[in-house]
Order: sequence, then C-alpha cells, then structure tokens
Amino acid sequence: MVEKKEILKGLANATIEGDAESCKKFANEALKAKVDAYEGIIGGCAKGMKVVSDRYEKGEMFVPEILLSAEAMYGAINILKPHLKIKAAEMPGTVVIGVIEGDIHDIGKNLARIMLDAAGLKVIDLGRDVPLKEYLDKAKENNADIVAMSTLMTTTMAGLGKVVNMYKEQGVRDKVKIIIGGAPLDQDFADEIGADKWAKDAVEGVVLAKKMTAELRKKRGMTW
Amino acid sequence: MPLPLFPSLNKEWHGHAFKRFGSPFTGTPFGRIDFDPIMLSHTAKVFGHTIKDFYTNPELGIALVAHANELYDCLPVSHWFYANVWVRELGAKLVYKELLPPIIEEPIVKEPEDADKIEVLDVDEIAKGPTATEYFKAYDYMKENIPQMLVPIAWAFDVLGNAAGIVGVDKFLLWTIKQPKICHVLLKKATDTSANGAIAIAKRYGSAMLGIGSVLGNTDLLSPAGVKEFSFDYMQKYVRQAIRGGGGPQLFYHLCGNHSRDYQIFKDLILSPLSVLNIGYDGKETFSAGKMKEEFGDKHTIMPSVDTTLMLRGTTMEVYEAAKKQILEGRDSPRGFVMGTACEVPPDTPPSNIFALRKACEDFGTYGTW
Repeated sequence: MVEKKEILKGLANATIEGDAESCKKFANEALKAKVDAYEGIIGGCAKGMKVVSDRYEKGEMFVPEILLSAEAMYGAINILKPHLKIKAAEMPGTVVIGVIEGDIHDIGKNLARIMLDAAGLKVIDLGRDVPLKEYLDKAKENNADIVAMSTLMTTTMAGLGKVVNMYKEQGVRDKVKIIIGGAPLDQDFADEIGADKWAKDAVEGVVLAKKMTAELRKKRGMTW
Repeated sequence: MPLPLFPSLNKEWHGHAFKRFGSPFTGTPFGRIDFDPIMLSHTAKVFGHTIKDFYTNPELGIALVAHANELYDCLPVSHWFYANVWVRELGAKLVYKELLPPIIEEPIVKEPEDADKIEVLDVDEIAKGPTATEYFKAYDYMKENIPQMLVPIAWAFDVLGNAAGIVGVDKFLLWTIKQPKICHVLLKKATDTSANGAIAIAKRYGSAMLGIGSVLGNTDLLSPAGVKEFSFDYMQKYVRQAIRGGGGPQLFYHLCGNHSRDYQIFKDLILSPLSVLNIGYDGKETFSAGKMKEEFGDKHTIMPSVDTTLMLRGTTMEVYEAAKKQILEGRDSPRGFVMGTACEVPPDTPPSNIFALRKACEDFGTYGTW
C-alpha cells in the first residue's frame, strides 16, 4: 500500500501538473490507505493549488493552467468529499460568492472560487448576475462568514453598496465580513460603501477570507 | 429617427477639428493634440438616454457619439460598436440588458465536435445578416444626416473574445491547453466571419477603417506565447484578409488589459500610413506614453491612456494630471499622438473629467513649442 506521505505528495504534484487521472488515482489511494479525506484535500490538493497560485502571482503560470489544475483538483475532491468527517461549522470558513446583479463577467470570481475551495473553505457559489437579496438570504441560510462580491463593470458597482446597506437595514452587518473584488474597484471604494476589504486578486481574496473568518468567529462565535 | 438631438453640426468647428484629427497622419501638426476617450454609452447618459437605448438603436447611438464629440471638442469621427460583434453570424444569440453592452445569451459550442457545425457566411450573406444590418443603419443615418463625421468602421473586438464567447470563456481558456486544434478551428471561423463583415462594409461605403483588438488576449489571462498564438496571429489574419477584400487602409489597434509581458509581440502588427495604437496597462499602471513612443512611435500614431477607473472616480485635477504626464512623455512621438483612455470610458464618467482630458491637451499638447 502507498504511504500517506507519498499520497499527499502525489495529490499535490498531480494538481500542479493538471493531471486529472493521477489526481483521481491518488484520491482513491488515499481512501484505501485510510488517509483522512480532509487531510487529503488540504495536505494534498490545496498544497498543490497553493504552488499554482504562487506561480500565477509570479507570472509563471496563467489562467488556462490554473483551470487545468482546478479541473484535476476537483476530480480528487469529488472522490474525497463524501468521506469528509469534518462538520460544516468546523470548516475554516463559509464564503458566499457571486458576480453582482447586472454583470456576467465571472472569470475572476471563478478563479477566486477555485482558490477558496483549495484553501478548504466551504464555498456557496451564487454564479453571475446575482440578485442583490440573494447575497443576504444565502448567507443567512448557510451561516456564512464571508460575503464575496465582484464586478468588472462600472455600471454595476452601485449594487455592491446596496447589498452592504441591506445588511445594515436588517441589523446583521456584524454577522459577516464583506469582501469585494473586480478591476474597477479599490479599497477607497470598499470604504465608501462600507465593505470590509477590497481584494486585488483571487489569491489575496483567500488570504483575507481566512484571516477575517478567524477574527469574526472570535467575536461572533461559529454561527449567526 | 434620433433627430433632433442637438443643434446642427457647427461646420466651422468641424473643419478645424477635422484638420486637427488628420494632422498626425499627414505630418502637418495643426492646433493641438487630439483626444478620444472611446465614448460609447457614456454619450447616452450625457444626452438623457439609457445604456440599452444606445445599443438597441444604432442610429441613435452613432448620432449620440457624433454630438458628444462636438460637445467635448474631441475626434470629429463618430462610431458605434460593442465587443461581441459578428457572433450572431456564428450562430450565437445576443441579449440586451439594462446596464451592459449586448452579451452572448449562452455558449453554442458545448462539445469540441460542435465547432465543425459552425459555418462561415460569405460576404453577400453577411451583408444581409443582423450585424451588418445594424452597421448599415448607423452609417446610412450618418451619411444622410451628419456626413462630415462618417468614417465607416469595421469593428472586430476581438476575434479571440468572439471564439471564446461562443464556447464560454473559462472552457475556451481550458481548451487552449486541452483542445488547441478546436480553438484554432473556432478562431479561424471567427476571423473569417469578421473579415467578411469588414469587406461587406467596405463594399457598401467604399472603405472600412479596421478596428481590432487584443482584449481577452492579454497577460492577465494568457502567457505571452498564448497571446501570440490565440490573439495576435488572428488579429494579423483579420487585417490581412480585410485589406485584401477592400477594407482599410486606416487601422485602429486596441490592446486592452495588461500587456506588460507581451507588448513586444505587437511590434510586428501590420502597418498602414494611418495606423493608431492604443494600449491599456503595463502591470497595474497605465502603459506609459514614453515607453509607447520608444517602442512603437516610429510605426504607429500612439494613443496612450488615462485609467478608466480614474476617469469614473477620480477628481478632475487627477485626470488632468494623469493626462498631462502622458502628453509630456509622448507628445513628440514621430507619427503623432492622440490622448486616449485605457478602454471605453465608463458610462457614468462625470463630463468634467472628459473636459479635463481636453484641457490637458490644450495646455500641454499645442504644437510648435516642444
């Protein structure tokens, strides 16, 4: 039987290489060797995806390669996920993510989703052109820690502020941290609309999401 | 019919502006450096219309741009376009939303084998199709009502975006690794379709300025090699085919997004004596006019940029300073300089920020004293 260390290394390397078949093979090996499924995802796939995101940051890998790695990673995750023993509330964070109403540009959001998944966060992907109220309803329903909204279009930026206001009006603004992302945005805009942070890219979004979830849970507890 | 929108064209203004517009190409500097903030539905907002009005009514759209050009005293040439041009001829449907330019309803190439089912329409068929019909409406309107500001333009923004749009962008990007041959089949069909569209416009109006860009093909998404293989090579093919069929000779190249790692590739772009090159970003910063002058100034009229977010959210003085910096760096570029923006100016841009671009051109772009 293949050893745990070798399995985790295999999952990481197969993710980096975007080798879907190897990813599946090592995921099945992990189950056979009774490696904890969560450890397989975090210690294997996520480690590989971290290398991919670092290389992307350095301009050594580009979006097609990330998508290939993600496809391979999800192949392994799909095998491992049914065997997860960890409860949702114990996950390092729950993120509700989507492209704001009126906009359909979702490459950035999809990259963020991949990186968040790889970091072991629970991700509720609302898709694109998301009605504003859904950001509140789905976050409530899932006890979300982070609400992540993006837009590429300047014409739909106002929607981000409306969502923040919806949280304020409902008296639940302190239940979540709100992160925004997208080419026309910056921290000044985040401050202006009352969001917590602007993430310059998907990689930074993950770092922020993890950090802010920890802060939030310390203050708020595990759930709303 | 969109008229009356604005008082009749001021012929004295137009004569002056037209001479100024032509000066980079004729080598006889006149007046001041010109500016073009790539206005589209911003003009609808300025005149009290909606974004949707702009894109669903080509005659209105092109007239709005013409009148806004006069209002702001910028390029005396009108235009009307959107990014996903000629995709209906490939079989896609467009939908019109309140706050967006037309977008592709849903991918039509679900599996690699679907690529073979797409047919390229010939020039005569394309002339009867939905896209050419829109352009003909816009240009016929201009011909009849504001002929001085008509330059028929064939837009192909961009063939990579069109091919990717009919597959779904994420899937197409993945296919550039997994199914590169299919990507090339689709790119060739998208290119041939756009080129036939350009030829149809040239046949009807006698010429067709070619507007082509590398929009999806930038190094935020693709490697430099990927930009060359999937974007640049097809831009070249489009221009070559369209010129052979009667398009051109004016060329407008728009390199959208970040081109810090791939700009060298674009040194080999096909040239004509009337070639304008606009580049958006160099990393997170706008591509500097000094670098454009050095790298491209001997071949193209350069069109450096002011950041579009700054146009929308910056103060008037910030826009003025950004434009001033670019003008001072690049105003003596050998084949001329047009002050631009990194992409289409956002619809809700305060008009004062457009006037700030003009003021910078007036203060630092007057010929003769450099």
